[in-house]
Amino acid sequence: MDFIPSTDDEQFRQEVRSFLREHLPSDLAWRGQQGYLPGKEDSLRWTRILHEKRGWSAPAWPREDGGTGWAASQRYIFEEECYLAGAPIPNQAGIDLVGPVICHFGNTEQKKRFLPPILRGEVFWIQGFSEPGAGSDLANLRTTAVRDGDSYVVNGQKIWTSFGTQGDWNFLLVRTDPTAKPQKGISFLLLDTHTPGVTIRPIVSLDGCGHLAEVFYDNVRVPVENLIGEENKGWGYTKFLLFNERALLGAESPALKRYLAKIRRYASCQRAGDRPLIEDPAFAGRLAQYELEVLAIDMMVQKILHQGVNELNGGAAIGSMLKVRGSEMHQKLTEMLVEIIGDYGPVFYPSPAEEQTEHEQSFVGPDFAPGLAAELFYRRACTIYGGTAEIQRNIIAKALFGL
Amino acid sequence: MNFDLTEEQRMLQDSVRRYVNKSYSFESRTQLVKVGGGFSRETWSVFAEMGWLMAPIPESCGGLGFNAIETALIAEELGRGLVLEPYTFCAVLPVAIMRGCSAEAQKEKLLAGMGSGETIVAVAHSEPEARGCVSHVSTMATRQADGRYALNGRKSLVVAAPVADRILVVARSSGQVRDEQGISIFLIDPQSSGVRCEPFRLLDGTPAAELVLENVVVSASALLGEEGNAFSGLQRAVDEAIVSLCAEMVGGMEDVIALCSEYLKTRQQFGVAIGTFQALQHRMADMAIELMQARAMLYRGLAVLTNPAAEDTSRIVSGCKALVSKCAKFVTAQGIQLHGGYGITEEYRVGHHYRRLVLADAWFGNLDYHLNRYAGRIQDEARALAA
Repeated sequence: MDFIPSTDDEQFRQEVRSFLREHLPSDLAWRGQQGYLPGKEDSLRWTRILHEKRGWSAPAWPREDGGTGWAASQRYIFEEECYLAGAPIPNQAGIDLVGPVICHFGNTEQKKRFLPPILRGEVFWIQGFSEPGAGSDLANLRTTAVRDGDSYVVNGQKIWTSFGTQGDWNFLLVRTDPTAKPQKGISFLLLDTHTPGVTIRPIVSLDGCGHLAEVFYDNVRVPVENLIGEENKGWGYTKFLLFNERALLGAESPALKRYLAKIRRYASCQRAGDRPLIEDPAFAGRLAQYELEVLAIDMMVQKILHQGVNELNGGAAIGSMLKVRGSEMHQKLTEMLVEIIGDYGPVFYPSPAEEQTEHEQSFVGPDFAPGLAAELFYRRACTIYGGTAEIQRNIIAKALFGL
Repeated sequence: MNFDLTEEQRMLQDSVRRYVNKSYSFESRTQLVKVGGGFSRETWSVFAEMGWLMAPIPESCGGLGFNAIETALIAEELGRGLVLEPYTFCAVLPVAIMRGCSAEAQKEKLLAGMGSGETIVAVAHSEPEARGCVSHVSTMATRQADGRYALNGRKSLVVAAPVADRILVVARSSGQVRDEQGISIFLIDPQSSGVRCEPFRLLDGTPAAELVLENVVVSASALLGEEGNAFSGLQRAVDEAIVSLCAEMVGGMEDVIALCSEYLKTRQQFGVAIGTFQALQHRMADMAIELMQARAMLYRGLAVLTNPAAEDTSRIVSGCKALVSKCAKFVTAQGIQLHGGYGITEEYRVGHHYRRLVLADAWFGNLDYHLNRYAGRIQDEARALAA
């Protein structure tokens, strides 16, 4: 055991930084820094740049499928540097979720057909898991797919689909065997959202944005070649994906670090009476507490990156532990960001992405105020998405203590 | 960075764990408190035979020359086993003071005795109004015409003073009470005239004392290193001791969680094991998360102590103590809660970890002190950016 930073990692970090300086467009970086969630256009544009310039658009994929072959620590450095620079988050449903599932469980034909467009930033994927009656109890899903000749006929509804209205392709879980135990009768399908019978409706969330949606399927015909793996084996692929989601997205530690950097910066220039807010002892004490929690999370992430997930460091529970504490910190830090701007906290700032207001439009308050409240409201979801904080605690208690 | 233990580190960890499991049962610990004054010289000799006391001593002085990572591995296992003999206070802290403050010639003899377990050294540093501030020293060292020094003052909470053969006294040879300049450290014999040891037990049974110094005259050779320049070495030594203490807390949290996990599966209420209740499952999950954070923060502390390029080490160590003790408070308190009435009994192990935590929080300054100190780091960095 030693804690001396590796020089290879530092060199790699410098390489990523200089790439970002050269190739990250300033308008993308500005929107990213403001904290608005990137939409389809920004995400795909950035993926295209990554792919064309360096072949870096899906670092975690197996090398033969277009991945980079980077070590976990390098992938993390890459993700962190991109995030800190304000680069848009790529289309996670494509690159982080369905991509790896196709890499591992798809057939050759499916790999050839679906993977290159994801790498090249040509298609935008959306996830179809949750349903009105199947949230935490995902295996209770009711959307059905009935085999009819060379197609499945899909009927039902999905909900809480991120960026749903922008989706080109949709991966979804459907019930193909209604008689089997809930987990045994589920299949994993890929569906073109332009197929007749698909209706997508936006859901406006508290952050004022319409990036969530519900998706309705009314006798939608999906060719059987769009089935991943075997019929009724979809739950296994889903567990693989959810584990990936938790391990990969878990604490979203780069985002936590960016919030801290913003808090330090903004609290140094916002004044409370005759001094900067950061000089207020109560404020600084609370910030210190938060910063320490984030430092600890980040150190644990480093450990997992170096060791991989194993029995000694928490096994199946570690992703859930990082997720619980990490998402609590996202909520505390985004609340603090809104507190920092004081009287401008309650002001409604329209989203530049949605209303084309862009930054030339004048607004009251400091120039960093727009986006803070949107991010705060968005982060209320992070103890819900990817498995609620309560479900995560169930997982931890079971995995660590057999309870 | 490498998070895997080396073969040598693993063997060291195993040796402590095996010893504690085999020879330091909770019952013998209870006996030690009842009839043995809370400290066994025999046990201390075993620590020496095992090489644990040699661990932090430089190779040039006959020690093993291990760094903070190895001593933390030892401390963690001792903390897990609720071991009373104060490894942090009588091995890590005084050795670090000798390493950082004394001249080469002074080190060898004393360190050899400390490594062999023959000489037990206590550190008289804290004063009632210090509350963690390392430079808060009002005990005076006055240089006399004959070159000797007269020490006067009162030192609170001197851990192991009643069993110590020698005491390192932190005193002020010049300057004001919180000045960093003017701090000197003297090695004294507790039997010297003018030394009054007012012994007491700590909450966990460890022997300690308040030390009153009334015109204690010591020769110039008792001064470690140069007069008035001990602060930076002392601060570093306290930092090392704090991280060692954090490792003890992490070990203690591990034990609490293991005890609770076992208890929840065996204790029956309403006709079922109480571990089937989700409220308690979630509590255990929260405790595991706190432990994860505490361990990660311990690594941060070890990282700054062992990386020569680290900056602002001391305030990061403060951050380490603030977070680890916050986590340990939660876990040890919930350890009691999950055990119900048994948790608050003297004869059950789990509550003793909470007791130990009360001590750990008080030692070297409490959570508030260290959190404020870390906040000061954030504020200083903000000021530097603004300037």
